[in-house]
Amino acid sequence: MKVKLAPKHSQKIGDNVVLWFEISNSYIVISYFIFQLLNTYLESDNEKAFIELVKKKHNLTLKVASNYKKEITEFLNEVNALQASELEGYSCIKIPDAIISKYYGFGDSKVVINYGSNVILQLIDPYLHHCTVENSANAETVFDIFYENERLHLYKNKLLVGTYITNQFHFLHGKFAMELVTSLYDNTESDWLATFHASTICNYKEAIMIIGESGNGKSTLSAILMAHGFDLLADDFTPMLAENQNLYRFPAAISIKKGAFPIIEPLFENFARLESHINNSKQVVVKYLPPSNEFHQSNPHFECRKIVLVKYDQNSIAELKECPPELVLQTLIPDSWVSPKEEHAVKFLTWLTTLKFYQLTYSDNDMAITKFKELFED
Amino acid sequence: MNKKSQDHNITRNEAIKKMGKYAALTAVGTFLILTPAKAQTQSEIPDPGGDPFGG
Repeated sequence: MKVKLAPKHSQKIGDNVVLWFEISNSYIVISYFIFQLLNTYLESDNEKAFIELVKKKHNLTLKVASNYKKEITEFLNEVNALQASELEGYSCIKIPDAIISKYYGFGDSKVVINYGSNVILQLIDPYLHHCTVENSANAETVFDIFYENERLHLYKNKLLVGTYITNQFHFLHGKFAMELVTSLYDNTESDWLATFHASTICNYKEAIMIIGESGNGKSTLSAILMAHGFDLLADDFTPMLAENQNLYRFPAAISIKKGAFPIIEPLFENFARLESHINNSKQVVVKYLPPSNEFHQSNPHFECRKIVLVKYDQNSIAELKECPPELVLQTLIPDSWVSPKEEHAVKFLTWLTTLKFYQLTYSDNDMAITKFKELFED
Repeated sequence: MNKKSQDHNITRNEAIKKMGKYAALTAVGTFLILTPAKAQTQSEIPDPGGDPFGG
């Protein structure tokens, strides 16, 4: 009926089919039956023909068939609508003199960040503070981050990357992280397939990605696993390179909320001495725990074939089981950036077919460690 | 104010709620519309409030 509304790519994952629509960069997970309905819709000459066809083929009433027609029409319109950009327009301004300049070293790579205010410094520096180096004249990357004309501005090597209103700070922070990754690995954003909102741990052979809704202890669990000898590849921001679909090391510290201090403190000798940071509005006290392994002395990337959706439930006994892919995808995809380029979408869909999906419900950290050990040995 | 619903793509719960408009399809099987974030993001840092970045 309307070929131009058809998904650009589709891939069977588990019992379902995942479709990709280019215009909206949306991934649609549907059962095989709905996939059949959709194909019939797209192949039908008109809506009336579709209703007649599915009525006969699936023994449906007119009302049910009409409902399917109505919803498929709406759905195709929705996923083929251009999404409005959420970001502010760009406008170059003169970069002000930095209030504070800080230098960071990541092996051979040196970076200077010129902060326009102490408040901005407090939002970014704690994540990288463990990488601080002495004033470095040969920093090859220079970031300027400042507030001017009621906008936050991010510049890299004196070129504007983006401007953001203040409540979009998480976009500025994410863009900064992306630009830092391109500096660390000497490439460009177009080389990256995705940045996942996930913590990733390794056993020096493979990576396992940990995802979960806020409050389910992803960061705390990552810190605990790190204390038990696992290699923390990335916390909160896990980049994937398009070329090999490997996950790459990101050197930021893990932010640990005060509630988890009693669990983490006995595990790390220096934790008690780490500075506490207090958030202005919500009075959340956090400490930033650096990764145990030095960025430049560790394998920078690993394959990932397992994703674990973690759920903390104080009334549960620890249980790790394979789960339907859609349970993981509905947390992973909306929380992550996935490149909208067609070649990347194809690689992403293919990568999904190689994965095993797990759900870990836990109340006891020791049990969670045991389960992760089992998973790495699997 | 939940910044996540304001600034990000819709949250998972909102996505599920939105599925109400596809009640007939969701009743017969898996039907999820998942849209990645439009740009890279880091976890929300609680809003420091006001215009704190200048000083």
